[in-house]
Amino acid sequence: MDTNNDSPYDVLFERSLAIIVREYGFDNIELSAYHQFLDISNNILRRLLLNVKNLMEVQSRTEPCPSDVVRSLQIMNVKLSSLQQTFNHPIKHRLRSPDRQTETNPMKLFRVTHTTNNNSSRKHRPIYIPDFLPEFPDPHTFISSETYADLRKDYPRVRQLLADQRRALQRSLVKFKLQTNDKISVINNHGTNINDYYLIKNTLSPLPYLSALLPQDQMDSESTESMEDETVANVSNRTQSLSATDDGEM
Amino acid sequence: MELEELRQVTRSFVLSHQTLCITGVSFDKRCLVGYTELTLHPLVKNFNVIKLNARQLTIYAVTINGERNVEFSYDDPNMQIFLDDDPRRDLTSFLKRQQRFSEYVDPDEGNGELTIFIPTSLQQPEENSSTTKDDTNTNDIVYKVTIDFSLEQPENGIHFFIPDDDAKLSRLSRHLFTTGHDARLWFPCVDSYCEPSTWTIEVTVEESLTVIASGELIECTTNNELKTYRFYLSTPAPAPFIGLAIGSFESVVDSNTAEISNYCLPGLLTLLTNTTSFVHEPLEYFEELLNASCQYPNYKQVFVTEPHAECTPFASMAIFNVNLLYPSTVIEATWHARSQMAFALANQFFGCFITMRSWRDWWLLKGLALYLTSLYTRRAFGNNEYRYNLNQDMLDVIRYEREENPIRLDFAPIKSELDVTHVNNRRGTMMSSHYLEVAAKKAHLVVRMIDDFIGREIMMQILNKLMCLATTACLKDASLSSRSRLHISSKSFSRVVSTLTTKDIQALLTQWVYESGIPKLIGSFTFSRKRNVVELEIKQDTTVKGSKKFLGSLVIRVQELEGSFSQTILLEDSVTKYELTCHSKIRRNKKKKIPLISGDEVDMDLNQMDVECPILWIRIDPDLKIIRELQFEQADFNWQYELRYERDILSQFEALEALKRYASQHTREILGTVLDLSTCYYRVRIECAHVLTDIANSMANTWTGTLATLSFFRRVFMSTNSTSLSTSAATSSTTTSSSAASATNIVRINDFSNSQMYMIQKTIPQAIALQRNKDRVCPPEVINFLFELIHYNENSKNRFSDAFYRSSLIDSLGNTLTNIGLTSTTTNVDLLLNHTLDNNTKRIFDEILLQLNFDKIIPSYGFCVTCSCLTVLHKLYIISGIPIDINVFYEYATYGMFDRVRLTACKILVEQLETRMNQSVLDYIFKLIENDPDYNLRRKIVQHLCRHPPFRQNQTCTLNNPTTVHKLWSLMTNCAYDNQTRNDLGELYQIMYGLNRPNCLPTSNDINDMSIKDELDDVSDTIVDIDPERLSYFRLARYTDDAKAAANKLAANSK
Repeated sequence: MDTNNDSPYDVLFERSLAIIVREYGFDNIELSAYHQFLDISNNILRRLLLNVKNLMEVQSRTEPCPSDVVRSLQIMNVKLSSLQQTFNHPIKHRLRSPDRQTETNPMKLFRVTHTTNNNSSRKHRPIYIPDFLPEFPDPHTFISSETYADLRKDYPRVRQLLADQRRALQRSLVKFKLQTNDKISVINNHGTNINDYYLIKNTLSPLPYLSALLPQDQMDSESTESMEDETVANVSNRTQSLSATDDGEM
Repeated sequence: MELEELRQVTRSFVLSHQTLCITGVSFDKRCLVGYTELTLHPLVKNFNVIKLNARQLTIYAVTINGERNVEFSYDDPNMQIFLDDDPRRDLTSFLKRQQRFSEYVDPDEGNGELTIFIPTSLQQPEENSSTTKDDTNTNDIVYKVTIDFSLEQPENGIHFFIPDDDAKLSRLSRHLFTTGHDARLWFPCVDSYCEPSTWTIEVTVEESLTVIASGELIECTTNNELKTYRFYLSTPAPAPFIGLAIGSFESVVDSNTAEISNYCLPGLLTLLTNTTSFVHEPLEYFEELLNASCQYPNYKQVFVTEPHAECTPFASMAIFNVNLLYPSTVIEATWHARSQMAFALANQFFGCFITMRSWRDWWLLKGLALYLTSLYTRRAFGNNEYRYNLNQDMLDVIRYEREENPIRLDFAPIKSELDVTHVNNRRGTMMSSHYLEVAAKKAHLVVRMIDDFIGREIMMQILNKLMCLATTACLKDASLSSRSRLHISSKSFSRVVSTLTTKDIQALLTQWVYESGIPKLIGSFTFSRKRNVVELEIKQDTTVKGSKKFLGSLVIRVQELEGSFSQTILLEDSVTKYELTCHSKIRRNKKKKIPLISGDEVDMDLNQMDVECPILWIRIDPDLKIIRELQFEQADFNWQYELRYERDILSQFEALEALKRYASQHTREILGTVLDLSTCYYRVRIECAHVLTDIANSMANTWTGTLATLSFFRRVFMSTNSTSLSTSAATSSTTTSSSAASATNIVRINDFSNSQMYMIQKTIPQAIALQRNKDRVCPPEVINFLFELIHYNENSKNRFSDAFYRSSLIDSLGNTLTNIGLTSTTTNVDLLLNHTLDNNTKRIFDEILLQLNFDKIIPSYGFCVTCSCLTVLHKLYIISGIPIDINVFYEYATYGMFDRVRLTACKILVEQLETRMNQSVLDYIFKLIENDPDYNLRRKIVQHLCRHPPFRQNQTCTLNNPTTVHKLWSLMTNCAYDNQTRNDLGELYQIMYGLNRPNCLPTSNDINDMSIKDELDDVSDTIVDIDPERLSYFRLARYTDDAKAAANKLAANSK
């Protein structure tokens, strides 16, 4: 799907149209045809709204009411009965809310400790079962395996893991920045060139107080709580990533 | 009464109203254009000359009552104290000149830089004012003096902040503001604190800009993309308190009081809302306390960058440093920011509204404002915090008087120029910043003393009376002479006190204000069992520097077995002995509870006590009624009981200080107990941790076991994991002992919701890190502990930022560094880093670099982690000998970094200078002082240099050479407009070279001749273009006091 459009309205419009098309049984569509479709629907909608607006103004109202819509649909030669039919049509596909897309997988605390039949294939069936019977389904559907969390070691290990990850992240970030940015040597080495000690060179900012007073270091903790609040702000970012994924396959 | 006070000032006119109109502001050229109109009422008969203050301005024209192009002259002797080619380099002649020049333009002596000659056509004929309508005549005549001026590229007075690039946000962030109380630096005025007038301020700016100025906004008109703001200040205010700020500010109105509005630079609105949400509280509190309402119709707070002080109060507004803003996640910024804002608000009552009459009364207003502020902070942050701060202030004052200069709060003008003996013994405008800072603390303590002396309620009545008097002067139909009620002096204040009470505070003022010095009391006691009395002896040591004998009453509080008893004794001599009767008998039954002063009754273990003596402890002056240095002798168990059971934190601090001298097993136990007491004030507990470390260090040879502080920290802040340990022991044998050990050592996930516990958690590692074992190095156990804290620090579930916690941990790492065992003096860097340096130091070095780099990628609040890292990096250089490249610190000192980081880097450079005496560093520092765009930083560097000078007088040092003398001298003489920096530089010069010609310069005969000539030469020599007629007027005005005589006559007539 073409995703050049930046505005969330356009993206949403495109995607809802795609859903409608799919609703009528088209699993795939030529891109150019789809663009035609888009233009037409856009035109129809604009026309409809213009009509509504005109009607509204004729009757010297500032807000449209349902009768305006009905009237303008009639002007545009749309049969109301066909609308009724569409309305009654069962809906199979729904547009997914853009927010629910980036759910992170929960951390796996629980482990499968012993798995039987790990490499058994479904072709491996006992001989007392006649051939005409259907094959076994995948083993995971009927074999249960006991799982338990190792609570004893859990807390320190999680903490250790977390701390190690964090430190590794810090180090690699610093290393990356040191390789990509200008750097200055910390040691006064008088010509000798043994030096692993570098600092990232400062970038001078015209407004240094901004980065100092609006710190970023709290972001990782706040992100979980504030994500709900900030969804509105993030919608535009996320729809982009969305439209590139599964919903667009038609 | 008022006329009598008018006479103290030798101005020949009264200013009733001033209009300040700024018609153009250009950010690109950094200039202002405008005019000002002063409405003057002459006080003398032959009123022919008007003297006004104006500096660094271009004056285009002067119009008086419609008559254009009136003759005027403009000379500013303070531009350059000495000419460049003047060979004199002694501070005495510099100070004398500065003194003389300052008098030459002092508005309170009727002088000024701008002299306007009233044309004869406008002068009132002498004959007219003869007999018929004498007094009405002088009152009727009004001169309207209009002055067109412009201000271009100002160095001081107004600060333009203009970012270097053209980004949209940078352009939006351009702003300008008034930097201090030197009004003459940005518009012509009477730059005196005792010339209040009403104001009209009109500013025309581009449409996108907002103007904030003193007074009420009465009109705002838009015309051709230009916007004109018109403010009117109906409450008379002197020119120094007129504030102005222009920029594209974002604003928020206080949700509780619509009169308060706050402004900040673009992008910081959330911080502003968070920081200023409380401001209505102090306002309401002050109004309730003084039983008077704030006389300004509104109050504005503006947060700007690069102001010269953190907080500058003006009439009906205040300008703050943007660094005071903080997000809700930062804990420790709150205290400081709130007290600063409360201080600015207190100034809206005493300071800006009621002003000082002259610099001699500076202490009174400063003290009153600080006094009100501290009453608020006491209410907001609690009594303990209040008493702690009070004690800290007192310690600062004592330290300053003992080590540096005597503080005489009354800045009386010195009688003759020959008395100039010290930079800080001069007029109020010429004091150094450090002196003023400590003097303010002393002023607060003195005002508090007055409060103690006359009682809180009466004190409030007096303040209320002053407010009411001042309010009547603000009424529309109030006479001009009533405006003298808007300023108070030490004399008028003590007069009000003596009329409202029968008490006379004159003696108190003499002791603490008119004279300097702080008494040092040395006390000890013995108990006489036979007579059942305490024999108390109090000596006053008058031999130490800055001491002074104190005669007066002193409170002694004795805690006995049967309760606490206070007695007041009278100090009459330098050695005094008293017998205090004891109320308790020695007990045989030790089970009974012991009543404390707080009303509690507690069980005590009295086994440590002397069985023959019922005294638990004795305190001298428990409530800081006087400023004193105290040294009291009592046995170690007395101190231990005092620390353990006394509820007053000052007492606990005293006991902690004393217990440092009594290192013993029992002291250690008591300290451990107090550290654990959750009811105890957190600062006491932190101090406890420090004392514990001290004791551990002094007992290092016999010390066994871990430090109580360390085990306390492990118990309280680390996961104990005891349940899982027991289960693991029961169920499985596979758990290795190592994993169990590591489990106990993990610090809990940060939770700073209890701020007291947070402060303890933050500060205690620093105390632990100071521990040394018997080899005088930090035990490896402690270093590992600190590294684990850093490694396992986990803040993701915390509501608050851990920036300051992290920076504190880095400071702790710095505290572990010692130079013991550092044998090599090798210059081979490779060898040093890879072989000689011990492992822990290397580890610390790596960690510091990592944190420093990481803070650059993800900055902490105020870059506090960077600041700590830089300090530790410097320690690694000084203590551990790692050859850190000095360029690293230059890098962080560059303009464009955050100012706290710059300041830290500059301080390090200054300290570097002190230890390594590097010429290039000195040059760099001098260059910063001369050219840096951030004036606040310049001042801070000079102040830090004063505390850490590269050398002191007569010390031999490679830097003590003629070049340095010349450089510093030219900085000092040419620092034209920044008075405060000039004063600080003067102090530095005195510290480095003393008052006379520096020793490193050759003495020659010419110079002697010059200095002899200096005794004779007059101000006129330096002012080149002075014409004889004006000079004669100048002398007339100064020495014959005709203005005074005229005012006398006026007073006589009105009676």
